[in-house]
Amino acid sequence: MVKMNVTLSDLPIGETATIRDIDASTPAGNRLLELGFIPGTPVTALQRAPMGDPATFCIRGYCIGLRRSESSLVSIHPVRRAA
Amino acid sequence: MEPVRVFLVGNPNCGKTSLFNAITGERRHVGNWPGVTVDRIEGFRRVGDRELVVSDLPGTYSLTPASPEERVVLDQLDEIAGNTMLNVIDAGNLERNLFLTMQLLELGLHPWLVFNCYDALKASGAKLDLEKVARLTGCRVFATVARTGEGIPALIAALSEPSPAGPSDNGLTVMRLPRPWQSAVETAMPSLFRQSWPNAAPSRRLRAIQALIGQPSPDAHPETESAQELEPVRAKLLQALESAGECVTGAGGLPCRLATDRYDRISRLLKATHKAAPSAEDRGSSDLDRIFTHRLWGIPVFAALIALMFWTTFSLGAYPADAIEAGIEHLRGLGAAHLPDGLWRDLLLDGIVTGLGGILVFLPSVLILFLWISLLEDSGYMSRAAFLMDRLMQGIGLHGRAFVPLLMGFGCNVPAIMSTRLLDDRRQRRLVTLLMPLVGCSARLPVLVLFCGIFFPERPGLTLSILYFINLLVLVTVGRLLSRFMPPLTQAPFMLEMPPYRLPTWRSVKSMLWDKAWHFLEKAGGVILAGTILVWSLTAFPRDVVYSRPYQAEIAALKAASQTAEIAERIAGLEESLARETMERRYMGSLGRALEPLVRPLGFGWREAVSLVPGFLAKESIVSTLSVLYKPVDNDLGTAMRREGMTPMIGFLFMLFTLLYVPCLPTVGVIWRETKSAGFTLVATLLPGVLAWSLTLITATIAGVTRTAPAASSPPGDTVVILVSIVFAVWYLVRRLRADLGGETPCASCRGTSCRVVRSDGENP
Repeated sequence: MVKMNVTLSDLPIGETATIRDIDASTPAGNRLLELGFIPGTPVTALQRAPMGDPATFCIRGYCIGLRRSESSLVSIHPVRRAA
Repeated sequence: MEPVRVFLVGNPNCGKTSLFNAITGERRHVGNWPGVTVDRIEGFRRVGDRELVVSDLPGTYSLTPASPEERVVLDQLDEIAGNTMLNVIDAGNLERNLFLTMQLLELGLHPWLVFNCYDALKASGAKLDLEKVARLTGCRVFATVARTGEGIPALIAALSEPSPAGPSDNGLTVMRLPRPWQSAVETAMPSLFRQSWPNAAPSRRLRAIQALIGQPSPDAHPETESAQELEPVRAKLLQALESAGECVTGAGGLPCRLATDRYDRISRLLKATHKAAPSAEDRGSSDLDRIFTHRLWGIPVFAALIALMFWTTFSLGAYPADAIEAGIEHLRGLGAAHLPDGLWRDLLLDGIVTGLGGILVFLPSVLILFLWISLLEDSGYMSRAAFLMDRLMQGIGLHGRAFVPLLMGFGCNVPAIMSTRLLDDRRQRRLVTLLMPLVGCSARLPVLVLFCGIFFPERPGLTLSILYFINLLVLVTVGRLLSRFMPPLTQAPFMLEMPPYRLPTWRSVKSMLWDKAWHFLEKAGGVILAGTILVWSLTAFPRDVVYSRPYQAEIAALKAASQTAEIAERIAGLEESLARETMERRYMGSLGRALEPLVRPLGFGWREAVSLVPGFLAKESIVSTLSVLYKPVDNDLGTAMRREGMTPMIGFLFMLFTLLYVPCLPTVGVIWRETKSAGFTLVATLLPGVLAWSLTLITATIAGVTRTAPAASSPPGDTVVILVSIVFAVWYLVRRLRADLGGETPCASCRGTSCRVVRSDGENP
């Protein structure tokens, strides 16, 4: 069940995906909503920190660093393979 | 005439503080990382016969607060609403900044929209139709570049108009809550507050919206928590939304739907008014990030920057320091030649000039260090450093952002502790505050530089690095133990905005340096000078000392005899013992003797013991105290110390001890002010002492240190007593900490009626 749910934390660096849904039941999820992480928004994974966590994401024209615990709240549509 | 009250509201890092400075002309430091303003700050500006009272509020992403700083805005919402509110918007990041604007408009507020950093928008080739924005939102709109002052006169002129033009509701409806939402909150309002929507204060309107969507607010109020009666309203709203073709499913639910709607409104507004830049991406920033936050290069580059920072602080700082030292020496010489002998001359030369000289010498180092910190902050690199360090900080239970206060702590613990407020939760703040005294601030540097120079002249840099490394090790170990020992209550969400890189402006750097230099000299002029005079008077009184033998008579007798080399040597020997005995029998000697048993196991003598006392007032004064105390032994401090039995090993131990032993008085003051808990302050003060003592003792025992010169063997009973007290102190500290970090006690640091800690106990599943 968990495997079926692809989240932002799985997004490979350099790739862009569209947000499918977000768990807004926690303060962190709620804050992400307010920062513009809403369904349908494209988001790009920019860089991962040297020790694997956190990672930076680009959304709505700005960049933000999120830990795995936050980025895994955001479900994304599976990334389509580049043709 | 009534002063005009103006409040600045906006996202973190949108340039509110720059704007505040531009309006009030006040010098306040502005960093390029979120969270520079941690409390409400007021400034004034007189325009003609009107006075503007401007309040700068902490940055907030939304009206649902996630941190105590963001709460400040919420707590004052009703007051702000009754006055002029400037909603500062970063023109380079419109969408996200406008989210807060949408929330304000929904509540029926009329903020003035100030598009700041407007030059960045223009430079990127984007266009914004300000008149149209004004028309669509019903707000007054301004464009400014706070850093250069562009657009500020127009804003000030508008603010000081006799009666600011009332808001027009034209078109405002477009930006308001859509009909189904609006009618739902209007239905919910009376059942929640027994008040209708138009009559309710903005903060109540906000709470009604939050209750309606069942938003997980860290600020749940009792009235809104039992919102069972809202179920029918909610059901109706869902029905209305679905019939309008909006699908409300998924984990997001209503909060997600409302956020989406707000962003939809923003897109509509921007579509009508904004023409995006040809290339939206900021090329320069991402190129720099490719190096600075690179998986492999990021940390080495960071380490190199820090190393460069410390290296320049120490070695470049030495040149002006030498010049200052020479100047002070010259002044002393002048005074000695021209002033009449007596108590006043001693006070002036040995007390004041020596003491102040000892401080001024370190001004260059402090300035270089703060130059670096301000460059790293203003450029935006600090956020990258926090990003790089986050994983490491997680290891000691901290947010990557906590790295910034800890790094600042190397400059001065006082502002660093104040900056812990940018951390989200109370436990994190307390943990960092507790660790802070263990961060070797620049005031400890004089002691280290002095001792390294005296005892390790071949490798001062290496010794210094070893000391700082031990310091870091202690910090990490203590942090790990503390976080292991108190697992986090709530995992604070980690969101670290990466601002675009900006070239630091000389104006901002200059104002920070000026601030720091002034702060440093003020401290030197006040606390340290008082400390130096106190130390001096302890060494100068009582004036009449009873000696063990009639030195004066013996010297006089010898002087009367023939002038051979042997006699001259005996006279010198007698004079030296006379001076030493004088010093030992003055008040300072008695104080030192009282403290000596405590530090004797560590290998320190009474002079070192005494110097630690004014060191509590300000660490810099350890050096000046030692130089006053050792003066009778020899004019050269190094020679004097060696003659009194100091060895390089003891010198090393003393440095280690000073690096850790106790936070200085101003730091204790600030800890108390920030935590409002006497117990916590006591713990934070004593913990480093206990640590320093034990660590130095262990090192001393391993190294087999004994003080060679005039050491009287300590009675074994003393050591036992000290050890027992230490064990007791540790036990007590551990108990206190459990209570302080555990969160059972209501949190005194929260200004509001509730806080996250309390909520987690009282929350219903």
